[in-house]
Amino acid sequence: MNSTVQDMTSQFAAAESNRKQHDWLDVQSVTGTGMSLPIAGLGGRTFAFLIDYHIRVILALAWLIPLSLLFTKGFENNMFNHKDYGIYFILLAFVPPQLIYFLYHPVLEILQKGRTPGKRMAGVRIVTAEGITPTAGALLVRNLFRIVDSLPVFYMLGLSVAFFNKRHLRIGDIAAKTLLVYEADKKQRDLELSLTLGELPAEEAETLHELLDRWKQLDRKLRIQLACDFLEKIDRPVPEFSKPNRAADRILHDTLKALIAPTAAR
Amino acid sequence: MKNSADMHHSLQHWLEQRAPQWQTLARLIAVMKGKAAHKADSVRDVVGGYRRIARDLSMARRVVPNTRISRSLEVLYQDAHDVLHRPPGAFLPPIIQLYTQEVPAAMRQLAPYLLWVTVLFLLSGLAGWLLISTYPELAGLIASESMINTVQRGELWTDGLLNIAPSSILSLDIFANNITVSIVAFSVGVFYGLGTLYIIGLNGFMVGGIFAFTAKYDLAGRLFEFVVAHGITELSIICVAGALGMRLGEALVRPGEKTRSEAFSEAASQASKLFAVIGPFLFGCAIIEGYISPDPYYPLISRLIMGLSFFIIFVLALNGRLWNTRARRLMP
Repeated sequence: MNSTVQDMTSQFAAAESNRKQHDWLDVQSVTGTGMSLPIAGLGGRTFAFLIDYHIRVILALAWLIPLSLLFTKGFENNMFNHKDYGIYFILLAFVPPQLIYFLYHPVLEILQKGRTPGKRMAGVRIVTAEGITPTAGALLVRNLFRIVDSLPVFYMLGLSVAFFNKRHLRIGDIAAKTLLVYEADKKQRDLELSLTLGELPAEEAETLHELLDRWKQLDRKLRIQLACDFLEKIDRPVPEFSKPNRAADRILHDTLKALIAPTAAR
Repeated sequence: MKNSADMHHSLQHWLEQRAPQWQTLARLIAVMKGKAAHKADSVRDVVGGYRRIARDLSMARRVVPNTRISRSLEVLYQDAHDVLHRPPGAFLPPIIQLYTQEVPAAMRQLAPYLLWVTVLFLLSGLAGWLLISTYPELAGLIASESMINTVQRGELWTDGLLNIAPSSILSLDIFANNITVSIVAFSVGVFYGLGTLYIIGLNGFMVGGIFAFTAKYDLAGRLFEFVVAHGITELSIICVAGALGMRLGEALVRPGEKTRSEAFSEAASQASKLFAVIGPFLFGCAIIEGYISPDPYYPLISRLIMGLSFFIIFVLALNGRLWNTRARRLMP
């Protein structure tokens, strides 16, 4: 086997091995076929929180800044009674941001079934130990314990508990019997993509899919080399070209794609 | 070689046969995810698809493990599992069950803890009263300098509150403070109950101490008049939150036959049910404290009636008797 293809295959195997080092939530089903969900570690959890935190800040500022401008204008134009001015400003300026701060997580997690915008971007979601969407009560319990998890500052207690915990649970998760797991991305959800063996056996089709997925991330010379090595490995004719230029790159890419095109398309 | 080619063809044939059904199931699940109510036919189709996917996934794990096909089937299976097992979307029945059955049951279990927390609160109050009565110079432990100066002038710090801030602001501020204190009193129970003991003891001490201090300047009666409308229920809520915290602490110290994690989860779940009652009543206390208590228009007798009535309603809500029997009979 060509050494470059061998390196590539071993890299993919290493990636698989790394995947196996994640903690997994094993769920049994009534069908007898179990499933495993990868548990999110501190990195995924922190990343999701930071995104949500910035969203809350942006929402609060988006409310406060126009409101301040409006009130400044209103003050200059005597739109309000001066006695009531401060009252309205305090009510309108501080209450909504406080509501955003405190209600963002519980409301969105309930409405979006264990997700928030930050969790979506980080690719995580909240599930129960049975791998399903938690009830509203469980999500409220989880959020009730944010006060404890956030002690003394910046969620240090919650992160410490999650660090020493096999399933990376913070105190709120332990109370609510929930976990944070990684969610499948769009590529994994897209059945259309995966249903193409084309002319190749499954293992080689998989290697080819991986190569095509990473095509744009690879240096042109390297991907041309890999493509030629792969075609040699599967005993297919390798297109001839004088130098590894853009045309050669395109031809090889099209040739590889044709190998895993659906039968009906060919 | 021939076997490998045969296997490839078999796999291809299997994919071509099953793929349309997988895609139909994926479309059905996508539709169901977005809705709360579904037709029986759709649900039956998903249930049937769920069983078939389980079979296909088992095969894919054996024949083509760690490939896109098996990974996509894993995701489809997980989605079907989630859609079929997720909590119901109906809003009202769980709420009715919560208030008519689950909250009273939780209160019955909490009764011993509530008794001891109340005793602690009263004893702390007594201790605060005795200490400040004997050593009034220690009032600085429980009151700010401006409060002390105000009382020494023969006035209460609650006088003229409405001139400083309108009732709406007062109520909001009070509600935010009280809900925070209640949640803290409960959640610090996670430190084996010690945090809750401290919070309840401190609050009781402060209440007793402040009454003792104002009594020295013949202002205790006026202070009582200020607090009676909202204070009975508010302090009861603090005691309930403290009892929940103690239960949480005991779950960690003495979980009994369950594991600590299970006992902790059960205590936390019980607490969340009671907070569904506590929250609205805290809001009610804040409204009373913002609009009624600081207003000199209301005489003592009105405040007493209001305070006692509100407290009785709170007790009835906790034991489920506030709701009519028809609501209670709606649930099994």
